[in-house]
Amino acid sequence: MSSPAPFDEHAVTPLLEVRDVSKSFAGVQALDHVDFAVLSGEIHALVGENGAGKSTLVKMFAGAYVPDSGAIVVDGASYSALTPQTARKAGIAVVHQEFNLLMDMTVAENVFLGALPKGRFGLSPAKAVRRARELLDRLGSDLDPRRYVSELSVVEQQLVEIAKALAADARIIIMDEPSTVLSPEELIVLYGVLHRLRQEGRSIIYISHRLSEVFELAQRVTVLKDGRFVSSDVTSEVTEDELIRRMVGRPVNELFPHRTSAPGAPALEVIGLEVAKKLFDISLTVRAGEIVGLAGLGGSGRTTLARALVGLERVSSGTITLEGAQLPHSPGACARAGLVMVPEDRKAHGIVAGHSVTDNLSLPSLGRFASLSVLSPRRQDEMAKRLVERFGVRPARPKVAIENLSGGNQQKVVLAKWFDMSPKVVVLDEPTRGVDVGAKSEIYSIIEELSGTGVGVLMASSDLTELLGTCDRIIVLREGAVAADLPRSEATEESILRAATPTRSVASEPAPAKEPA
Amino acid sequence: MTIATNAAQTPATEQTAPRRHRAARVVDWLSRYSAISTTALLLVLAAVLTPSFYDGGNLRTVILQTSALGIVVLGQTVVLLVRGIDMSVSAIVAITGVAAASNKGGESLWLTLGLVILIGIVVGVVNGLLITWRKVPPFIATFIVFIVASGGLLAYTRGQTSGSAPAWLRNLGSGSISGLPLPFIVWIVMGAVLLFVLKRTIWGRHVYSVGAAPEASRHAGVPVALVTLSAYVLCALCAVVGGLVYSGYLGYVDRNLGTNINLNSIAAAIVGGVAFSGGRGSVVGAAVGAVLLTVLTNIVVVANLPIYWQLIAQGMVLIFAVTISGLRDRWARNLP
Amino acid sequence: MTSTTIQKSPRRLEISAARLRRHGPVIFVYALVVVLYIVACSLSPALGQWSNLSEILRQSIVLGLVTIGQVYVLLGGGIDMSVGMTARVVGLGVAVTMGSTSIPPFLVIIGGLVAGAVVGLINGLFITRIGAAPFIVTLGMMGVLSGVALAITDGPTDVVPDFFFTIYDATLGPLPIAVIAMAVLWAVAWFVLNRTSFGRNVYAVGGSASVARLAAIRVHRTQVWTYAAAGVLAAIAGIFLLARSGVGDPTLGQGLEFSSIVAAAIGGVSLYGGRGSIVGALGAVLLVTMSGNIFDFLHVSGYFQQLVLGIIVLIGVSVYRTRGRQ
Repeated sequence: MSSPAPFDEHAVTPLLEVRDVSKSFAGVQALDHVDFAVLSGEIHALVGENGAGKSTLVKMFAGAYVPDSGAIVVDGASYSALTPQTARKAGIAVVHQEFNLLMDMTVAENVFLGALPKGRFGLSPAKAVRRARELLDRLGSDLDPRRYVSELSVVEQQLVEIAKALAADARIIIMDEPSTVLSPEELIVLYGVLHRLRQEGRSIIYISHRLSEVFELAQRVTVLKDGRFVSSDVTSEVTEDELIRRMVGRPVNELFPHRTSAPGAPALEVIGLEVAKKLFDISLTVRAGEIVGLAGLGGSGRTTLARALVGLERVSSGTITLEGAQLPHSPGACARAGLVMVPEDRKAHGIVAGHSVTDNLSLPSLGRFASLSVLSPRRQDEMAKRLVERFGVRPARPKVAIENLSGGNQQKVVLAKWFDMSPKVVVLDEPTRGVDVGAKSEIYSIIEELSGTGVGVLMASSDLTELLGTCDRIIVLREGAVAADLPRSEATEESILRAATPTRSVASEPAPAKEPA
Repeated sequence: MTIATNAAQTPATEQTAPRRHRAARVVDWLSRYSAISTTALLLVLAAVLTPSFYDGGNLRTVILQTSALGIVVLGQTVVLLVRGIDMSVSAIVAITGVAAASNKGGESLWLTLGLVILIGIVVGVVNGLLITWRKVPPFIATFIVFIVASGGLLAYTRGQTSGSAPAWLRNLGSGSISGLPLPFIVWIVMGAVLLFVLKRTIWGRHVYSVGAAPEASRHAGVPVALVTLSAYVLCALCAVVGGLVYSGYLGYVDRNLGTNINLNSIAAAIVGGVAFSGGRGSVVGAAVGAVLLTVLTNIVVVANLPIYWQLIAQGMVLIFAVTISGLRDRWARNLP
Repeated sequence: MTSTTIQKSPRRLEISAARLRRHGPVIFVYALVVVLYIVACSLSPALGQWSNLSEILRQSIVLGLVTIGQVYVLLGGGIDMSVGMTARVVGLGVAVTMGSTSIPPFLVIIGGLVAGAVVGLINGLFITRIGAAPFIVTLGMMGVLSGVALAITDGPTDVVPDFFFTIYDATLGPLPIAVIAMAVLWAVAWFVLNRTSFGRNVYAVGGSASVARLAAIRVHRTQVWTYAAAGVLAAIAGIFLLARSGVGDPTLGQGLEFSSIVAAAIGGVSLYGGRGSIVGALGAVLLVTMSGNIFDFLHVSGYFQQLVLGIIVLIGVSVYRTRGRQ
């Protein structure tokens, strides 16, 4: 098959259209009247920052979310809402970042899960293997369908997910950040597969942060920002810089307190830190009173670094010292030594749901409220009252169960409990994720105040605006290594993104089609 | 593997279901007050239908049985609070009874007591290690220990029903202080101490945290494995005391002693509001559960119903309790 | 960044090696069976003869029946503690019904099977509709059933009608008919698990209920069926035990739930679900029965057998870290 001719949007009716779709959650507008179209036989990239609305859109395609308004049109048929079943029937398949595969079953069984082919006496594994092999051949792979999924490498598992989509005869395949887990060689394989799918007239919506990839792979690219559609272009007609500008440029807002920084002596020093397969030779310094940002794309190692600092990841080499002293290897001991880490996943790691605000606040430092191991409710209540007031937690009733608070207030409680231990250095991982705008600004003030008292802050975040608004310096991670250390004067959203984006290019030739027998 | 969900973007539930909210409130009330209300109901029924329940002798029996079960329930409560379960308690009770019965009093008494305490600690440690270190699910781990322990006991006693309890043990069971039976006092004291410890000490708070959110607790510096291990050791020790009390008031030692104790201690705790999923519940509720089960068992006797109704009733209490508990957990999480 | 080279698709040898690793536990179990046979023969030639072997096969029927049911439940992600008491209730119920009424025995047996299915259905419904923990629900059911059994009778029942003995004794050539029937049942169990949609669904549901749901598999329905199957098989076991002893014994079925879980686990069935083979379970059943046979020959008491079995399982469970579901 010869490669398809370049597109003329006006001549072809789109395979998939998103028409005026909106969706909001608890006051946050995730999608705001979004409109765009995907043509058949194209790889269509979807780019935008975190929070731009991409994952919400994906969940709608998968049938997990229902639009508040608008419709999704597939091959002419209009749907105001999709369910997993109707999405499948409509020909939509989603390959998520975390695969939906059964580890203890074979490739063939996974590909045909729920619809295993039958033979004369019941199911026929041989038939399943044969058909799976056909599908995999079409994808250009010689993966043996009899192998168990648990033995496969990540790219092979991804291939199985694509084969699943093919088995369901999906016309539209959505790949959600497929390349974050792949090596350059594996990416070549993936690209080859996607080109083959294209040749069959199927379309791929390819979500990625890696703009170089977008240009190599996609015919067209759509930019989303803050839940709104920004643009759809043929990739040969835009530049990377232009895309970045569209993704991030926004009016400056009054969210951030005025920053006066006077960093003191180095507080946290990391030298040559390595975590197997995730972090490579990381060295950085955080001074007293300094706010250092940690930026990077998904999978670049920010959270791994934060966890490694308090002993939650196995460090293979390197040193971490706090004011010159070696740090212990558990979160509790590190906290007592003066280094606290506020984890990214508030629900699973940050709060104890079911317990009151007071209980949550006192948990890491119970010794302070006890004599001879007996806790004093009075002292805890005093502490809780003090902290609730100081951190502006609403409702200001410490006896309330913490899960009844809004995300922003929960986060304030999480911050309060750690900050009250008078740490010397604080590591924050996505401190304002899931937090409404009002609470965000309060949290920034809290952080600013903290650094003013001489505490060093290392803040990992995927929100560039936030980093630019609060930090003195921004360290950019790229694929597990430090790519840049930008002082405030040099840091812009473009410069950060550029430093964070891998620049290697992968061969863009599709894998040669198998010769017909 | 599950679908990745952005932790931040959890939406408010798509559909509001007022009927479900009302049902959820009912279930929540039930999980908190079903034990005490059912007990009250039973006591009223007993007064009306089987007034001999309130005879002095019978009441005394009820109090003794409640105390024995209640002591074991204390330990089971702690284990449930750390999201575990202990199926080996009945074996510990039986072993304790047999070991105590083989000692006729005198100087070696302390030796025997030391021995049973040691056995309890060993069993608790084995349970705890299997669960924390080897990551075996609690019900399997403690069940296997139960098989080994009871198998060992049966092999040792060659399957015989052992003899009568020695005098010192009987005194434990039948003695009283200012009119209150000794076992009852032991139970109340242990219960009060445990209640205090759970609510007001660092360890107690750790127990509740580990059960409610083990990962968040780890992040907050709580020594999760150590807390879990200590819970199982404590449970085993409670079972030891319970075993002494059982043999004491029964006046004889039966190798079948407490084969129902596994089920009953779990049922009592769960019906008393201690969540199977951990982190929630109180000693007081579990104590009420122990009362409920004992009263239920006793009423069957006093009402001259065939004994098998005891077993059926006990099983149904457990099923009822776990149903309420399961519904409550499910609706609290807003699942369909 | 460390580069990971894409592995060329492994050659056939490597695939076979991987499969060997995966089926390792099953092969190990059968190897142990052979070892045990050798040990038995060396203890006494009588143990190696056909008469003893056929006796072992017959003795393995009860555990085999219950284990098949337990394997289905475990594979589906659950566990069933009530199988022992189900066997007892049905066994005793059938004995008493036949002794005291004139209902045709055939119907009584059918009734017993239905009762077993009903117990399983109740278990399954509680576990799926209400979402209560399988271990606790079936534990409670075990308690209830132990009471029901006591209600049926607290002492041995009347002797069963003669034809019952033929269930146990009848032979076809060298093999007891019961053993042949059991072999067929094992084959059917294997077939259902590996060659029907239902069987693969069971694996899927136990592997990951959410993935199964996405593939439009009816998760709850599948799980309920596994419990129903376990109930029916436990009922059959109860009836067979009745045939073996000729009389309804109040301790019928004691400990079957433990033995079936242990046999399944030894045979490689994961206690978390989704993984394991019925072939392995069969091997484990044979292993347990053979070791019981050897112990009996050595006049080791039943309690001691329980102790030894328990210790072996304890060691096994401590050494072999099952892949957890955290």
